[in-house]
Amino acid sequence: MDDIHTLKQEIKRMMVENLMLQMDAAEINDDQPLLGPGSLGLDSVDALQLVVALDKEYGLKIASPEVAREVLQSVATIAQALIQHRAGASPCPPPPHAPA
Amino acid sequence: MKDASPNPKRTTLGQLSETALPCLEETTAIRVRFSEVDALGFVWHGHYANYFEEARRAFGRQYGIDYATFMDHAVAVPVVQLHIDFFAPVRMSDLLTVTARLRKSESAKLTFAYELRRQAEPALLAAGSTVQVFTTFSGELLLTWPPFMLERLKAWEPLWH
Repeated sequence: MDDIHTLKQEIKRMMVENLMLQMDAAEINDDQPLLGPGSLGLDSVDALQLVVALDKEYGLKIASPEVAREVLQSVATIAQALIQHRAGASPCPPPPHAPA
Repeated sequence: MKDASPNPKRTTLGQLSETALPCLEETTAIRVRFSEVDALGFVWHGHYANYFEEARRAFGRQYGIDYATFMDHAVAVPVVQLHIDFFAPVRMSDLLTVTARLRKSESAKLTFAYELRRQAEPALLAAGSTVQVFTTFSGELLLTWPPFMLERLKAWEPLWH
């Protein structure tokens, strides 16, 4: 529990630094949507920056829009994807037609 | 592409355009046309975006990323951010030089900074910046550089200054 809490704080700090948000990391809620109405107010350019930052800082590669929609919902979903990545699992299952 | 209710806590594109990242540049000449000036003979502010686009197209022709290239690779490059600072008026028949500088970027976007001057005069009349992202023709955002752009970036590597 402490680990995931620490990871979420790291993600928030990384977002504030990389996206140059003029706010404190503590102001971001774990489940607050990142994009869209009522969200943190991130846009497409921020999403691109976030994809690069997650790759550089955690080695998590998000190449497809489908995975991005799953992972970039909130700090909590990013943290969950990172935990799966550290465990060696893909953040999203492969499509049914993909070779084993 | 841009959120309809931008967060006021965000850093502005104007601030971003002042960062001293490596760049590639191209300059083009533009003659102000009668249709571009208002009743007082000054260029209407909206036309500056067209001047920036002309410089960006000249850059694209020079560096192999013109609109035809994007079309050939089934990629659209919509402008998602535009910032303009106006410093002094431009008048009918002025001959302008507009410089477009592409800023080096790790993420899959094209960030251009622009400078607009009267030809052979040092004074800066306007400056600005745009950000373009890559999408499919159906509007889906590409999160990583398209392969043809990775080839360009590799070829440009010795040219950034």
